[in-house]
Amino acid sequence: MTDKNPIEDLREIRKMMESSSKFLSLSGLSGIFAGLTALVGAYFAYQQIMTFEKKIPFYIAQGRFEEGVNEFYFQLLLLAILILVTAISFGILFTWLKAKRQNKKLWTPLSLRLIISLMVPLGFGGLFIAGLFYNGFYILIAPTTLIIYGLALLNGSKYVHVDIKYLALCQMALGVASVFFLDHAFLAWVIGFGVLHILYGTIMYFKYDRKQKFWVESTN
Amino acid sequence: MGRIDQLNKAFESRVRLGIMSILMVNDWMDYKAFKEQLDLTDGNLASHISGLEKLEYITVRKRFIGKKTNTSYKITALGKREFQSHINALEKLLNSF
Repeated sequence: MTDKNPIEDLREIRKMMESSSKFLSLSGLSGIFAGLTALVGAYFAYQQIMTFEKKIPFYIAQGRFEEGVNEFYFQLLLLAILILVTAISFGILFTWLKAKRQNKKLWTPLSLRLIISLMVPLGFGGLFIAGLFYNGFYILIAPTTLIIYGLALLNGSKYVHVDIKYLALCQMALGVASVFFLDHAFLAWVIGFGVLHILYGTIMYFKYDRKQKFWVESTN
Repeated sequence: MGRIDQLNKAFESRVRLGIMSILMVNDWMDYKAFKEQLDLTDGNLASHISGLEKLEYITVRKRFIGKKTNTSYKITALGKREFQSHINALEKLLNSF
């Protein structure tokens, strides 16, 4: 077991430190599919907005404009929940597949710590957004989702091998920018959850996943 | 090279290197988690752990979680210092090539 090679020793130290403290199975594909889901969802949301705007004169004529607005936002909320569930499901699926390929367990004390560090900001943030919805501050929901998602990513970034810190910072910056330019909040949301996810997922995939696959093949 | 730059004999084996590396970046670490992380048998791991314990580089905590015993380990201040200077010595050795 004794080895006098300092390079090998340092490599081993580094490997052990990393694999025992960082969650290595996060897949870039998770990010790509989360982004695609967000884009498809945003398309449907846009359709809903267009339909609603066409119906506004009818609502006003019938004297039930407020009722129409509330119904419209409720539909948007359902759509948002559907997007969230789909994106998370894809995320878990690809991460599970990667863990299986690497012969690693998905459920470790480490992944539990990662999930807790993500869920605390997301949970409280989600309740905060429910409050915004309840009080009718619909316009603030998109910026708030960006800020909260960024904070959650930042909190979880210390347990992940890839640098999602920059993704987190971009999401928070978009959130802040969109609260000043509320007219473009929808666009900011599409960029944050759609474009940035796809961009980051692609970079991650080519930087880590592909290389690893190649490495596994060449050592077999 | 002065005394402080010398490699620590206690960390010569890969297993001990692994144990110390893991404890440098994790707080309390379970025995079971060590076994999985380092892919070792009980006998092998236990002897290295008790070796490090005797040197007071790590401390042990035994407790019950429900009805099961749980043994976990933590690095001591001394262990941290010694491991750090071991890494420094390794680096110095590399740079001297």
